[in-house]
Amino acid sequence: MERKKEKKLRYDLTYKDVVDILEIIDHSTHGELHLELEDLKLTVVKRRGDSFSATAKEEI
Amino acid sequence: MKKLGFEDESFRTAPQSLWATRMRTETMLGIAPKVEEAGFTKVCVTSAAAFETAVMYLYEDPWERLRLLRRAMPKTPLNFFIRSRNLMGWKMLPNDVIELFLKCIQRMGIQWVEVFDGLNDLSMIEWHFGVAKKLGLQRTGHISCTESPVHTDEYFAAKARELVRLGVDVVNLSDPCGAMIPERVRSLVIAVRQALNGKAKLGFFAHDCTGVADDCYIEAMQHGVDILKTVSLPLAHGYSLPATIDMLSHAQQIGRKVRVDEQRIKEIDDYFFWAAYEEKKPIGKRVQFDPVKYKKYVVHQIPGGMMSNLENQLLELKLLHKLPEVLAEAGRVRQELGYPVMVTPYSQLVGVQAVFNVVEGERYRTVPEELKLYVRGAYGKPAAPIDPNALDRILAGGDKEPIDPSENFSEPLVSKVRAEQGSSLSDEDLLLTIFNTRETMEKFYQNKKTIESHPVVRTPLAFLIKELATRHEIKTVNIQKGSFKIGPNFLKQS
Repeated sequence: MERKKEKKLRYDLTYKDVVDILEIIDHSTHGELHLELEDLKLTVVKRRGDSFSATAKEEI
Repeated sequence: MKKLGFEDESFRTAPQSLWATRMRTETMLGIAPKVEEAGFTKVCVTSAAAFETAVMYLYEDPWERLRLLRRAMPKTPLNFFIRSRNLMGWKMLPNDVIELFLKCIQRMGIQWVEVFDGLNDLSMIEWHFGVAKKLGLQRTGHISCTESPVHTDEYFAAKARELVRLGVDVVNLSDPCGAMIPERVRSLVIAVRQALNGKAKLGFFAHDCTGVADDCYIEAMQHGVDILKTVSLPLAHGYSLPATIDMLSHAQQIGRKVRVDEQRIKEIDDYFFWAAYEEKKPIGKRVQFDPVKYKKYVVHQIPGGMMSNLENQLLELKLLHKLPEVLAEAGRVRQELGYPVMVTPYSQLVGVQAVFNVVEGERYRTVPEELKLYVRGAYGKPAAPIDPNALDRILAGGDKEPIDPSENFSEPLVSKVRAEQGSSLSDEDLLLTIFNTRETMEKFYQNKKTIESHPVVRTPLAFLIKELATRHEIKTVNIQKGSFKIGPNFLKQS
């Protein structure tokens, strides 16, 4: 039962997802990105730069 | 329920329409096994334009591309798209070159040839069909469709009957400029089907330049075409064709029987999102149909690539405000030249002449040599006669003698080039020598790239990690996927 549940939650990341994630990272002015897609958890923190906003976070 | 076949054009017309034909062989090979499994009736793998670009810009051996694609798709029938007598470049080639070319592509494993002539002058391509039949190649006769007073349904039906007489297996109706609207496609498909009378299958495809191609395809499906050419979703629309996934859905709704695997199509679509990103190439965007713009467009039918050239030329001359005048003039020139279908090279002939006529304030004062050759008949016979007044002006003070292009068709060229190059050159390399200049071939051999026959295709997760690792603006990354984890410091090691 537990295995079944685990299988159901598995998310198959697609290339299109990756391209979309990269577009968000590249074009967002936010400093952090937190993404959760079923069993995928991604956190990206940018360095301080021109468009860096120290407190802003982007949650997906 | 009548069967509907799909021919994939993601390797041929899609890159030609959206990527200036710059799709690398390795990009194709990365997805070819999935294309093989998708259930396409056939796959159009290459064309003259792709051969040319492979040699001149990608430094890839186009024959090697064919060999590798054949190996990656051993079961799917592969199609080669052939442009009239000037297989590559602008030279009209004689019979022996065409025969050798067809033999070579057959040796590479091509089973289908699709041949077209931009003026629909079938006398220019009759030889191709004869040789292809002798070799056992399957043949598609391609009719370039457009809107004009002379391009009636009867005109196209007559062309279809002529192609049947030439022994084709399939007649393809194509709308390269997106000039036709769905109502016209309906009457055209009905007329041509009637003309074919079951003696050849009927195919259809239309470029989506004006935003109505999807609806044109639906009409074509509803009225019984046998095969549609489509492309992968990220490579669809704009100057390209509609997407397979969308047409598949429409076909199912209409009740046509299809054997294309929807899951595989989705995987192929997903791959091309990655490929476009990796190669820094655009993905196709839908065009919104605008009836007002369409009304103007259909008069001149200047294609997108040519339009941006015209704008740049006028901008350099500080005459961009004259663009509407140039487009109106292009419509007049097109009419006077017998309504050529606005594909290469005719779109260039019309567009360049329209610019001269407007900029110089006098019609046909300056006329490029190519246009003089065209009106004398060197490119074949257009759908309507050349306007006599325009003809007088174009040929004023020069040679007025009509040219019969078929006069040189029997001139031997292969043996002549073979004698010059020596017997050690393969037939394939001999043909490249005929198609290209010596400078082009020298540059090609100097820069020729090795094609990886089994390119590594990263999984989406690996692709994400690789991309994140290359971004200097990223400080830390945490990735957790099931039991797989990458901690915040992985960038330090990468």
